Amino acid sequence: MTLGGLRAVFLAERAMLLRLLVARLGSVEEAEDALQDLWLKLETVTGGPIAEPLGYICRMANNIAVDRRRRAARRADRDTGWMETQAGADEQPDAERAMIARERLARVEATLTGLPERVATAFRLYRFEDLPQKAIAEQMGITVSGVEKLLHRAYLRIHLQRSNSGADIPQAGRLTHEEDQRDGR
Amino acid sequence: MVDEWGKDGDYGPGYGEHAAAEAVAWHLRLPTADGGAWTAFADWIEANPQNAIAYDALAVADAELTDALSPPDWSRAIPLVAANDDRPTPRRRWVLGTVGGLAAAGIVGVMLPLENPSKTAARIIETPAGVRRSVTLADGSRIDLNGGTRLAVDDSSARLVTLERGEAIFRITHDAAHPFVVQSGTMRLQDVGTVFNVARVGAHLGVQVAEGAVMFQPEQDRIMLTAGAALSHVDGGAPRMSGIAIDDVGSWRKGRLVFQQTPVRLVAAALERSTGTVVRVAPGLAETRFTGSIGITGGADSLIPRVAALIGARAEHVNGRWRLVGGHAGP
Repeated sequence: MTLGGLRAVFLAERAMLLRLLVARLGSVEEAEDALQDLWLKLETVTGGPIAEPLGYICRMANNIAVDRRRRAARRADRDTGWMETQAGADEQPDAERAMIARERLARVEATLTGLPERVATAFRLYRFEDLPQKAIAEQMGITVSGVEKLLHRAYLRIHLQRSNSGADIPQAGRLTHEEDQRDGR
Repeated sequence: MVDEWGKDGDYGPGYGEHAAAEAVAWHLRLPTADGGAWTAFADWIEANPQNAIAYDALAVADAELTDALSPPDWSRAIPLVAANDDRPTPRRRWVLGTVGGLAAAGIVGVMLPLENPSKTAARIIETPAGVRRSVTLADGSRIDLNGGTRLAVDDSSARLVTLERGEAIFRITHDAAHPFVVQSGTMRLQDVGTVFNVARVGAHLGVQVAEGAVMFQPEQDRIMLTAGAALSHVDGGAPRMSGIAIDDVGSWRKGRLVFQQTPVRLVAAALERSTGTVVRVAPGLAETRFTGSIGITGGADSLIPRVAALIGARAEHVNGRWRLVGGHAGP
């Protein structure tokens, strides 16, 4: 798929892409900006043929939306004054980011150690080692849908359930009684 | 804050169990979704505000995790000069760790010229693979040796320890007038009031700092490593800097090995030090990078295959010897 080809798909599906971005960003104005970013970003696409160009462009659009949402979250952090009081040395933002990154990894690790081993292994292989679900299925000797179930549990616990977001890290990985039983332990 | 989390208190603000589960399902599906699936995804977001909030929380958190997994490239932020750079005054360079900015402020100016180490007889402390040992030096400094480690302590100067091979974590009693120096190969580390871990495997030297600061090559590179900083150096090459969670420094003492973009051959060496089990690595796999943590519990029979699964390899046990080979192609 050439740049011209991607642009043709973009133009043909502009309305659908805009709708996706509005849904993700919650604002028509910001979605239009993001759409402009997407158009410019198409120029940077290199590499081989793209089998599913619309899916590919949608993924790019969603990534742009995620970046914008992250920047908004950072701005919100700054507005609380926490980042500003830390500012000073030029490298501070980097050190700051590194600290946040390490804390995040530590939380994920703490959560993983509390999850059943198969769940943690599937997540590590998928997320840390970037293996496709199919390869994980082969390695673990289970079906792809089995891998998806394990990943589903891991993602819920790591990113969405409250135990992971609280400051109380030691509790992060604790299984409920129900989950214990579900896992046959 | 509790009120923000919904009535069962299990999920984030603004969404419940149902939306969370569907958000995860979409998140797992989207990487391979076609145009039709993306349209269905937009439908789903529009169907319920909870859906939008749950997916957004998940996507942002997962993107942050991606960043956390690829630590900032310190070597680019802080340009390195070669060890043989003959500028008149060695420039002091800081590698800032978690509390680096704070620690750095307190310790500027305590660097002293290094005295020539005396050549008198040294006391050798050695551990077999799988066996740990702690030693306390006359000045109160404490060294925990991992298995498979050989250290030489120079009793005459008492503040010079040579790590010949293996791994040790140093908890140094700081004395500005008598800097504590760890030598390994031709590399030197000088403490600035510190807890730090050093591992030597052949030509590779790894240093991680948990507390205070340590200076790498005090007479040459003068790279200051503060808490949360890690350095990796192969003899003849330039040092490479990265970060490490402070709790992970010397985590081998707690039975947990933590790796970040570590070549599998060094993972195997770490396993051998800590468990005593020799693990060979197929040449094609040796330089493959691994990120993750391994709890070294259970016997080799369960541990090694588990490690193999984690690093995407296969474990072979032939004639009593363990070998890691590529996951799919075979040896």
